[in-house]
Amino acid sequence: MKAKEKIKEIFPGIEIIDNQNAIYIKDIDTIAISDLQLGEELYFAEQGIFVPQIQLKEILENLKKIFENVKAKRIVINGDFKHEFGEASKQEWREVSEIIKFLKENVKEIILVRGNHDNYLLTIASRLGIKVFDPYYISKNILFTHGHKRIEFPKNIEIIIIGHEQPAIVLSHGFDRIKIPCLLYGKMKNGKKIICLPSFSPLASGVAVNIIDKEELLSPILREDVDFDELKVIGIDKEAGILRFPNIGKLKYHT
Amino acid sequence: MIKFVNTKIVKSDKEILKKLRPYVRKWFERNFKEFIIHQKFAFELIRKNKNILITAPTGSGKTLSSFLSILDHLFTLSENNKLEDYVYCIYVSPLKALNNDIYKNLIIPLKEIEKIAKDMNINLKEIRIGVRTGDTKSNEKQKQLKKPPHILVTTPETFAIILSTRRFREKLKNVRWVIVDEIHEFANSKRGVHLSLSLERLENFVGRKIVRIGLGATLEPLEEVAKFLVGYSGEKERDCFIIDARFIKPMDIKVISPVKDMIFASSEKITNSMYKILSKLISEHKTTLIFTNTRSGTERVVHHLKHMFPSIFSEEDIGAHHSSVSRDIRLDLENKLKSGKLKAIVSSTSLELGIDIGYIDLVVQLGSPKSISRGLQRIGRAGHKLHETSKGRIICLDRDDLVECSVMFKKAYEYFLDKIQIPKKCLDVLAQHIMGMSLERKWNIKEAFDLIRNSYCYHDLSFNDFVSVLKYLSGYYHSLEDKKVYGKIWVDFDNMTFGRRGKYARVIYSLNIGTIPDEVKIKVRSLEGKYIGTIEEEFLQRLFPGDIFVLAGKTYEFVKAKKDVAYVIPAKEKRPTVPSWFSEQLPLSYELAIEIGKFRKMIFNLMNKKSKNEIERFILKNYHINKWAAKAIADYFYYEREFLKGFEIKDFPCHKTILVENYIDERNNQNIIFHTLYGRRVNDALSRAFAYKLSKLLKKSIGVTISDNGFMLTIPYDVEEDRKINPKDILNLVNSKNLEEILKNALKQTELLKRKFRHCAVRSLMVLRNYKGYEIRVAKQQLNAEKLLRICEKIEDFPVIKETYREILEDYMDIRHAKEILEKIENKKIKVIFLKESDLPSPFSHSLIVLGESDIVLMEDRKKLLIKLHKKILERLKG
Repeated sequence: MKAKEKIKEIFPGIEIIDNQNAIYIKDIDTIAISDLQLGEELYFAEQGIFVPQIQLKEILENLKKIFENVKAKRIVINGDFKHEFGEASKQEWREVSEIIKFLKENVKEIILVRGNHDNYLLTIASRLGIKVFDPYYISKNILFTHGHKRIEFPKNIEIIIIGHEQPAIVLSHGFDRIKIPCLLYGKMKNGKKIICLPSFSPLASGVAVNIIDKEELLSPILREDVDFDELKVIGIDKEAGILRFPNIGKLKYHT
Repeated sequence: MIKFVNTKIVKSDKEILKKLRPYVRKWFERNFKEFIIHQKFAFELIRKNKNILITAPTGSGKTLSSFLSILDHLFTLSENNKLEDYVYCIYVSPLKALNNDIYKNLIIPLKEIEKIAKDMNINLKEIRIGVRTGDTKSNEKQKQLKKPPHILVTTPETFAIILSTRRFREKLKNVRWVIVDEIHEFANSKRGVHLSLSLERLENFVGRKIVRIGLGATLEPLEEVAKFLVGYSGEKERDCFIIDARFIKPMDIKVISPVKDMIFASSEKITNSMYKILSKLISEHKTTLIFTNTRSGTERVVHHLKHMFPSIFSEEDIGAHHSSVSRDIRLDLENKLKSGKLKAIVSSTSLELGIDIGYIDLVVQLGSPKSISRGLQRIGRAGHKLHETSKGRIICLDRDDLVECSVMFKKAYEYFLDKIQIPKKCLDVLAQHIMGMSLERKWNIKEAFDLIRNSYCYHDLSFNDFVSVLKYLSGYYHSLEDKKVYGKIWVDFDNMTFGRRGKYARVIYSLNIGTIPDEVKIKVRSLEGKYIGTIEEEFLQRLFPGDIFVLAGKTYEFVKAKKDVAYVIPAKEKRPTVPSWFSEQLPLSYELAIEIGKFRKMIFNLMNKKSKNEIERFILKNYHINKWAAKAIADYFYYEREFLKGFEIKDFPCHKTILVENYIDERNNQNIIFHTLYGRRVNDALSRAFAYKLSKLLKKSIGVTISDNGFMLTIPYDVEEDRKINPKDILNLVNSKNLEEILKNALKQTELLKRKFRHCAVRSLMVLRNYKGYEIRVAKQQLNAEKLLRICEKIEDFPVIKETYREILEDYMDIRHAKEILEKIENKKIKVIFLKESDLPSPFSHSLIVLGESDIVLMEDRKKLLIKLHKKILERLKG
């Protein structure tokens, strides 16, 4: 294997796609992304913050880059496809349809895993003819779940993929301090492997996992089922590429 | 045309008095011995419907000056039963809590006059006064609608809201006079820019000339302020008469060094000594008003006075008065002041203005007030009556302060004032008013543009910028179906019209209008719970446990935040890890900075001929300072000269010579120190531009420390790339032509940009403060300024971004003078002298070095920066 490919690899046969917040799983020919939070701009507008709408355009551009890199038969959207907790708004409808349409042109199968923001997703998805899995989707030995609640893991499962946390890492040295999204991976207490995907939304600022206390983590799976400090960190930046770090415990913020 | 009134040719009191209604005349004669000079001119000019600007010290009867003619006129109408149910006069003040003052200055005189008239058997219809501010209850507003006040007292914010109301604005149809009080508070801020547009909107609505009356204390330049007040009528400047009575009050001012030896005294000693002097001054006077430069300073002074001198001060006779103190406590303090029950009151800015505070016989200023006008305004609060001497004592806490204040008050005695700068073409304020106008009616775009250009602040507005704001407000950047969410107005460019959109428009406008940014303050406490000060919420969001930051001149380590309190432990001797971009310090004015430069030059020149003792005596004799202060200044200059001698340098830093030091500190960081004594606003611009160029050259992030007297660029030491730069090599990187472009790039990643952008986004109504009845705080935290900025930067020609850069370059910084300085360097009118590398900084640099970074200019190449950070962190983990 070439060095360039090695740097992308998370577990054998699972790698990060082209500096994007997305992974490709070779064995099941599947792309996985998480936390798109579509329609978040409208949510902010309802709160009185009128952000210009850019999210949809950027998500489509990023998806395009992914499909230019990888041809896969399936894509898994691992929860929080859209942002709103309540009934879908027009903007969300439009955005969801547009993205689904684009995905259909590029993959044979679209899998939606239900997240905590996806209460009304079922209606939209059924109209668009897409299956929604709740609380998890399994393909071979891999389980996809959003990560907002703990679940019983079936025995034959070897790898668990979650989202929800929207992890990011703060890099600091001297005057410099930058936060970038990151992917977390490692072993769970039960011996299975786990991957936590970063958010695919350009609006996400992320939870700085090397700053906060374990109790403040959003995902109960990360809080309870893993030794959080032992998880390894891969920073992902569109320009700088993939930056591999040791485990979180070593990256805890110190001055 | 703007004309100055010749104050040498004065009419006699008799001539004026005979023009007054007999009962008004009688009232005046009963209450006053004679007219104050500006009152005579004001009376005549207002009678002739002329616009006027009156400048005179606080407490010199300006309110009467403006109202006498108006009241006389209203009484005449009343006598003839012609007084109708309309607002005749609008009085705009920067203060919300005006009721007390208005009662004393307007309602009592009215009642007295009415009584005299009654005694003379003249029946007058009551003249009504009404106060309307953000605090006015809705039943009071209802009352005002039924029976409108003839004189309406209000703030600029409420004034702008009234203009867009459906019904009450009809009561303004007959307004004849507008009085703008405390115009010095408005003219240099966006609040004033906002007011200037309200005045034009009112005049447009009324449909004929309104007499504008401006009242100010110490300010300069008067012509500009007069233009600001009256604006334009089409292309023609409106007329205005200036009555200049600024310097009619005698002063007694002294600058004090609290210790005998300012150079070597410890900061504890200086502070202790300051409190002893302060307590002595308070004991010797009846009521003392103490000004500090920050709100946290105010609390500290009260706390220390009570604890150091428990036998002198009790809870009851000393208090802190500033804008964060609750309204009840503030009013209680003001009442105690008026009844003479307080020995001392400590304030930051809230007591600068003309609210009535009774008898004050001494004003003490702690540290430099940073501008002559502000200094005089503050000291003018002592001896409130006109011919009483204003007594002021300035206690300085460091050497730079001493030099600054000595020059400042010397110039004050020479009637030299620093110039205020009026912000122009602010697109965020414009957005608010366009939305307000759309609530009034449908507008023709050209007609609205002409109206706006009548304001002095917008006379040079380009049609393109105007259109960009219209587009922004109409939701131009959004898809058609989302326009109803994002659009605040509709615009029809085919028919050149615009108007109101959405049912919430009026509510959004009235709840979110205003120009003062709302900062959520977070209390900072020690782990034991002791109050230390406040920081902004946004600053807290950037703090990580273990971070060291500067607050009120001391360093603290951040431990944790809980329920709106940040807990810290003292971190003595540790360097800050985050720049203190939340500085509350006021900047030194450019004019005054130049005067201090001239002073430096004079003293250094004198040193060639005279001994240190002679210099000390010279300073003592010619400046209004105490003996210790004179000694400290002479010592300070002497040590700087000795230091320079060691480098065989004959030049010295002054307004014509910039000294550049190359100081390697104990951590092996290279620090390039520029002694540019041009005020912080200029240094802010220069330093960031140089830092940006230096960062590009070295591919490193650069620390920037900025003060009024100079700036310092810090190049962090790196074992692998130990490359020292020759300061001479960076001087040519920035010039008067490329400064602006460089600065805009330099600002891109800075905290300053994010922060100012947030303010502009709120003013432009992109981020609302209040929406559908609740305050928006949680969502704001989720969507921080950084992210918002990143999104908006992707849109071309976005007015909110354009305004953010304009505000930073023109208002927050002083790019105009920064360019001028660079031009002078290029034309060799300013000399630049470079010092050899040294591990010792010169005495003039010391205060800059202990300041801590003001901001960081990040390496521009994000990719390289990330890769470097990655490498460094891995190395650190290994090592």
